[in-house]
Amino acid sequence: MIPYAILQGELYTEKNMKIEISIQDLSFDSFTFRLLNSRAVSENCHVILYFFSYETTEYQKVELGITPVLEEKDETVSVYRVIAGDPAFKEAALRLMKEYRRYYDLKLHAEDGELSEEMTGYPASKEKTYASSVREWLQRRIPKRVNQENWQKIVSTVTLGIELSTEESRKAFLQMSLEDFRSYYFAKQGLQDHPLSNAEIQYVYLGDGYCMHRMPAFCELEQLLEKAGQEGMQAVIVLPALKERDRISFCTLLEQLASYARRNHRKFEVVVNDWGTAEMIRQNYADVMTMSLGILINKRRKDSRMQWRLGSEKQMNMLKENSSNEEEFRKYLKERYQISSAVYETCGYTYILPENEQVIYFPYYQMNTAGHCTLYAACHNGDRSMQMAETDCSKYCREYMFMYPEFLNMIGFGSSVFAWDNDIFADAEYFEQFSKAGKHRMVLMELYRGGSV
Amino acid sequence: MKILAGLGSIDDLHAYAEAGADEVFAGYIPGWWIRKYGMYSPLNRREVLYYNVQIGSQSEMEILHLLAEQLHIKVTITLNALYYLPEQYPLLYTYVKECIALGFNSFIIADPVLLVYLAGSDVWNCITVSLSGEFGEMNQETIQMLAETGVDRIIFHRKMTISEMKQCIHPSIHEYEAFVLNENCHFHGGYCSSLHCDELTHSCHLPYRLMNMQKEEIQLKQKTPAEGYLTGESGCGLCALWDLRETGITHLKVVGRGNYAECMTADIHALKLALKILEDSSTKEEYIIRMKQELFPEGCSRACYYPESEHPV
Repeated sequence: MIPYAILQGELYTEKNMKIEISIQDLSFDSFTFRLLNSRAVSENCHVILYFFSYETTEYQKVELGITPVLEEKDETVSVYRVIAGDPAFKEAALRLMKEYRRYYDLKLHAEDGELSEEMTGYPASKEKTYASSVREWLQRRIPKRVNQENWQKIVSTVTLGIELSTEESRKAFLQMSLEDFRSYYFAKQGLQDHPLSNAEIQYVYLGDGYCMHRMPAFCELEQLLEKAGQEGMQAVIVLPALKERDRISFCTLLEQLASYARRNHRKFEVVVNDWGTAEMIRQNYADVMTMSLGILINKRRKDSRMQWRLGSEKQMNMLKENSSNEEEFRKYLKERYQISSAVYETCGYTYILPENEQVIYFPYYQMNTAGHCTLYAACHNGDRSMQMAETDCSKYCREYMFMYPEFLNMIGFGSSVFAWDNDIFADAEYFEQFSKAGKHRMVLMELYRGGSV
Repeated sequence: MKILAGLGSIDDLHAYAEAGADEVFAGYIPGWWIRKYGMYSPLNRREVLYYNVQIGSQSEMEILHLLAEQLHIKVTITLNALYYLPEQYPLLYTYVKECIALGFNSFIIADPVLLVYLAGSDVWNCITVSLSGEFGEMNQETIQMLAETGVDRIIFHRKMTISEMKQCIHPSIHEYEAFVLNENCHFHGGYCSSLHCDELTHSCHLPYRLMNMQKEEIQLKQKTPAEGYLTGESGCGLCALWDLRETGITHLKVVGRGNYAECMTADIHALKLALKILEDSSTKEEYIIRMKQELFPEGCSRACYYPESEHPV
């Protein structure tokens, strides 16, 4: 049977009743389809066939008057053959069969990279080239020079937050003055010369959206919260998704944060990455916590290979919205959870953001996250697929990372694979499409997420 | 426990039923959806054009309904994309109504927005809903919320341990499904943001290296593919059937829409046999020993879904 996605049919019978049909066999001058025996097929029908075109990624429509001939029948189904002499049909059928055959042959005989190269121009030969270290990988991505003038206005209007995802950064934040810390933080990222290093830091993001083992202990969090308050910065707590294996530590931490908040008459912003945590906070901690949706539940299609994805501009535009744009759901989130904000990422294309303040992480965007840590599996068992719950996490993520071919702009930290948005540090106009003069909060992620580089 | 298998073509239904499948799950994408949205905004998680992974047209669905009735096999429709466009939710409501009219009222859903949308509609009481493992993290609070919403079945995601599943069993939900054969992806399906298309490989199949701070590459083990068919080569949970049964799992999922039908049939057959051995065994140890002797005399794939269930034998 020809895959329905590349060839569809609509059969119109004498009484103009329409039914979708799948094409079983196809040749340049005929095709077959089948129907339930209970479906009457008249001698003269009308069919519309939609042939997928690989080149345009659109469908070519061919309309035919047909006389289906019963070819085969069993107790359930009748198979009909149609002889189609129409030149448009012949042309479309031959083209489709050629394209399908080509794909089929590639799938059977070519490696994945070769198939992609043949179909899209994907540079498979570049898969052999890797950066020699993460430092080198990062250095290649930070632009050496940017147009300072273009960035001036952005720097003065941006609402900037920074992420403290490593022990070193958190320690430095606690021990240094704000001015010294700023110099340290941006130099550590290799951004000391970037105009953004002059922007005021208004938010500090504490925690980890992907891994409970990377969450700071409460005593450390408490100090960080105090320090942020002293420096006039707002602290945001980022929680990973609650796994049952982490229940005790997760719930204890949440309770400690809530107690701290109540004692100090404070209310925290908390990024949640699962619906169970949202429920827990709604029921028990709504007096001291406001929530925003984290990356793992604010889903969208993101991939550093998007430029090789086949599709028209119209199809690419479908990426501009996700379910966070759905108005009724936004009302539901507001009513049930008092959630009006979500975390997004810069990911190589712009998209439609809701009107009120949202949070945009940059420069990384998450492509994939594992349920059992892939890094633990690789380091502990020698194989990324040999996965299990990490009962004795040795913080391999401080020392190891997954490197991907250089041209893919991907890197694996801990249980996640991230890609790098190539334009966000270089192109002020692109940055501004997210920041919108400070309307949306831009959060700089720690670029190296292990131990010291 | 019942066997649930992925169906890519109605021509395979008889074979799967004979091999022992009790239920199948399948995808149905109407032509108008494909032409309008293509695979940029897919209806379900099989996002390819050039494979026979979806059932196909309305006429095929009519045939499927009749065949399934004759074979007493339940068919569940996969409506499990991770999210949809805002304009698509009313279309999905219409789609669900069309499926009901065709005789299908069981759906797998992953998108919380779609869940809320349908739960507030007049079709909710006409359908049964399995909550996909791609929904996100499953924990007691999530399950409680889903029970209140009225979900009928929970599909635990691939990366839950059996003890975690046990923590999540809720008295108001009576059906629980666990993965047991094939496609034990390295990553969590619910967190996979990357492309799944014909022309580019899955991101989890891209080449990579493990490196340390000293710029040293750490050699990882290379797996040699089995010659010929091996049950569970890409993912196997057969050792865990005893524990899964004790936990309260009611349905076992054999992944594989688009796989070779002969392999799927063999998988279902193997699982059926394993369940027979389970029924006849009086201890977990006895079950595992007998199952491995019968199904894996030359050794198994070691691609364990639930390594914690593996017996030292």
